[in-house]
Amino acid sequence: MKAIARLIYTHFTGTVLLRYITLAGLIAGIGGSALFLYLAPLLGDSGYPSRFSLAQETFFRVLPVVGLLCFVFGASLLPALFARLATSHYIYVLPHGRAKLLVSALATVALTALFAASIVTMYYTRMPFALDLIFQRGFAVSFVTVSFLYVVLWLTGKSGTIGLLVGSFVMVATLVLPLIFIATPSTSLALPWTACAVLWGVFATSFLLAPRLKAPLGRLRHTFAELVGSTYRGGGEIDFVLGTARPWTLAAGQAVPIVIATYIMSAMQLVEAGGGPLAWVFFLTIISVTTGAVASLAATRGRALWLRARWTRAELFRQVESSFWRYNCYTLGVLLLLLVAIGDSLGLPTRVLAFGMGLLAFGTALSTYVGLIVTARIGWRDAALAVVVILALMRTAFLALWPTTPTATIVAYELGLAALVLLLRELARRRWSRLDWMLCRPELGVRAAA
Amino acid sequence: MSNPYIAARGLGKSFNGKPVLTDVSFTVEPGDVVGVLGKNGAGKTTLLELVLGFTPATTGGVQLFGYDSYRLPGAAKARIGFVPQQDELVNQLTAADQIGVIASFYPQWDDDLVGRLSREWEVDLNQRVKNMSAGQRQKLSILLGLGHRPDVLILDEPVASLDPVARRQFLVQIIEVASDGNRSVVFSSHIVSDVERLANKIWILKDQRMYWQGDFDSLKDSIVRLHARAARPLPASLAFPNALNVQRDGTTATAIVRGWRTEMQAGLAQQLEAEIEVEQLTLEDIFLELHR
Repeated sequence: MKAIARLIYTHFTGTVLLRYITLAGLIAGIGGSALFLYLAPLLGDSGYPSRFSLAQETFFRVLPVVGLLCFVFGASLLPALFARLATSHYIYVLPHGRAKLLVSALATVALTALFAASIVTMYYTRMPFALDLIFQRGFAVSFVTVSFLYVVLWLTGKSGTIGLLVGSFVMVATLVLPLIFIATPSTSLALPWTACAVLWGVFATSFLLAPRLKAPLGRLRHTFAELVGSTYRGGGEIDFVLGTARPWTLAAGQAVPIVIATYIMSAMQLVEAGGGPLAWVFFLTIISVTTGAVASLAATRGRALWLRARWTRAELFRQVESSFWRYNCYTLGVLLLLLVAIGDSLGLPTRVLAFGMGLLAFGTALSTYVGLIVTARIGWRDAALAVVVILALMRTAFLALWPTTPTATIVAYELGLAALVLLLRELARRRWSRLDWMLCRPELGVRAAA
Repeated sequence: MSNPYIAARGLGKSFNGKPVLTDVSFTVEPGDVVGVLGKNGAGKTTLLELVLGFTPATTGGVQLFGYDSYRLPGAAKARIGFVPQQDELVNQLTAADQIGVIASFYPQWDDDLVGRLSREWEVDLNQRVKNMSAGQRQKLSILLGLGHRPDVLILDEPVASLDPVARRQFLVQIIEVASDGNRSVVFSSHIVSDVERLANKIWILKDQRMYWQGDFDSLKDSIVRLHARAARPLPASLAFPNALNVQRDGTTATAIVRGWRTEMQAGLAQQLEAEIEVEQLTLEDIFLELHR
C-alpha cells in the first residue's frame, strides 16, 4: 500500500515543475469550483444583473477547467515512470513490483478522472439534471480519455518510428472518442465502459504476464525480422544510421488509423458533429507535423556518421537533410493521396483541396526543419519556435477552410509558410555548421516529444 | 550446514538455439562472497539473470531461498538486492525521490544506512538523476541495492564506472555486508584484483560452462606455474600432468598446470630428471592463463 501511495504521489510531484502544476491544478480546480458555486447567485445567468464584468465572469467559469487541465498534466510523469520501471530489472526484484506499479497507474488515472468528473458535475449543480448520472458519464468518459492521453504522452516521447506510429493511432482515438459523447449526449455509457475494460484488461494481462510472454514474443520478433529483412542495404548506410531506412512503415502506420477514423466517423455520422468535412484538413495538417518530428533525433544519430564519415558539418547536414526528405516523402505522398480520397468522398471544394495539399507539404517541411534545429537539449526557444510553427499552420488552415477568405490572403499565408520553411532551413543549417557533438549524445535525452 | 540461499543444478540457457550457458551447478551458502569471472560473452550476466529469475532456464533450474527463482514470491524478493550492469534510474527524479520510490516497496528499508552511505560516498540526494555523472549514478544504484539490507546481494559489474576511491569504499561496504555471516554476495567483475580482495569463492565461466568453482585458496593451490630446470635438454613432449600451457626452451620449461598437489612434485622431478619449482599465481595470472 505504501509503495502504491508513493508511486501515485511521485506521478504528480516527481519534478519541481510537476509539483507546481499539480498544486496549481488543485488550487484552481477546488478553489475555482468553490468560487463558482459561491458566486453563482451574483452572475449573469442567475436571472439578475451580474455584479461582475464579462471578463471576470469568464474567469470564474474557466478557472476550474484550467485547474482540471493542470491536474491531468501534473501527472504526466506517469507514463515515463511507469515505462522506466516496467522495462527495468527492478520490476523483477521489487516485492509485488508488477502488481503495485499497475495498481498505481490505474489509481492515478482514476484520480484524474474523479477530479474531472467532480468538476463537470459541479457545473451542473444548479441545473435540473440527475447529478449522479452526470458524474458517472463524466467519470467514464474522463477515465477512457485520460488513459489514452497518457499513452499518447508516452508514445510521443518515444524515439522510435513505431512509437510515433502507434502514437498517431492513439491520438486519433483520443480525438474520436470524446466526440461521440459531445455530439450525442444520449449515447449509452456501455461503449466507454467496455472500451475502458478492454483497454485496461488487455494492458493489465499483458503487463502481468510479460515475463512469460517475453520468450514467445522474442521468437515472434525474430521471425518478423527475418520476414521483413534487414534495415541495412549496401549503399543505404546513412539511412540505416539515421533510422530512415524504412519509410514505408511510418507511411503505412499513418494511413491505417486515418482510414479507420474516417470509417468510424462516417459510420457514426460524426463528421458533421466534429465540425464538418473541412475538419479533416485540420486533422491531416496535425498528422503531417508528426511526420517530421522524428527529425529531432537526427543530431544524436548523426553523431555516429560524423565520427565515421569524412564530411564537414555542412556536408553532413546536406546528407542528413536529403535522407529525411527521402523518408518523409513517402508519408507526405500517402497523406496527399488520403486528402484527395477523403476530399473526393466528402465533397470538399477544390479550393480547399488545393490549399490543403500545400498545407500538408508545408506541415511536413516545417516540422522536419524544426526537428533538425534540435541539436542539443530542447530549450524554451526551440519549444517556442515549435509552438509558433504550429500556430502559423493552424491559422493558415483555418483561413483556407473559411469560405469567405479571399484567395489572395490564403496564397499570402502559404507564401509566408514557404518563407518560414526557408528561414528554419537556414537556422538548422547554421546550427549544424557549429554543432557541438558533446551536447547531442543519446543519453542527454533529445526526444521527438518536442 | 545451513540451507544454501542459492542452489542451481544442470542450469542451461539458449537464445534462438544458441547455447549461452550449459550444465552449470553451484550453491551459495550464507556468508559466501562469490566473485564471477569470465571473458566478455562468457555468460556472466545470463547466469546472474537466471539466478534472479529474470528469464526461464532452458534446462535445469535455480532455487533461491528454496523457491524456484523464476516464480519467486514477494517475501523472497524482499530479501534480494540487485545492482544492474547499467543503472536503470528514472532521469526525471532527484536521487532522494528515486530512493523514496524504491524504499516504499520494502518495509525493512534502512534510512540510516542509506543516509550514512550517501554522505560517505558523496551522493547529492537533491540532484536530479539526469544531471549526475556515470559514477554518481552507479553509487546511487548500489545504494538502492543495499538499502533494505538484503540477504542475497547480486551485483553485475558494479564498479565499472567508479573511480579508485569509490571502488575502495564500495569494497569496504560489501565486506561489511558479508561480515555478519548471514548474508551472501554474488558479483561479477572484470577487475580481477577486486574479486581477489573480496571473494571467498570464485566462479570462472569459460566456453559457456562453469570452468572452475571453489574457494580462492583452493584455486590458488590448484592452478600453479611450474618451472623445470634440467642438466640436459628436455624432451620435445613433456609429460606435465593436466598442463594448460607448456613452453620449453632447451634445458628449461615452464608449464601452467591444473589440479596440482604438493605430493606430485617429487614424482615429476624424477620423471623429468629436472628441478621443479612451484610458483603460486595471482588470480589475474590464473584468469589470463586459463584464457590464453
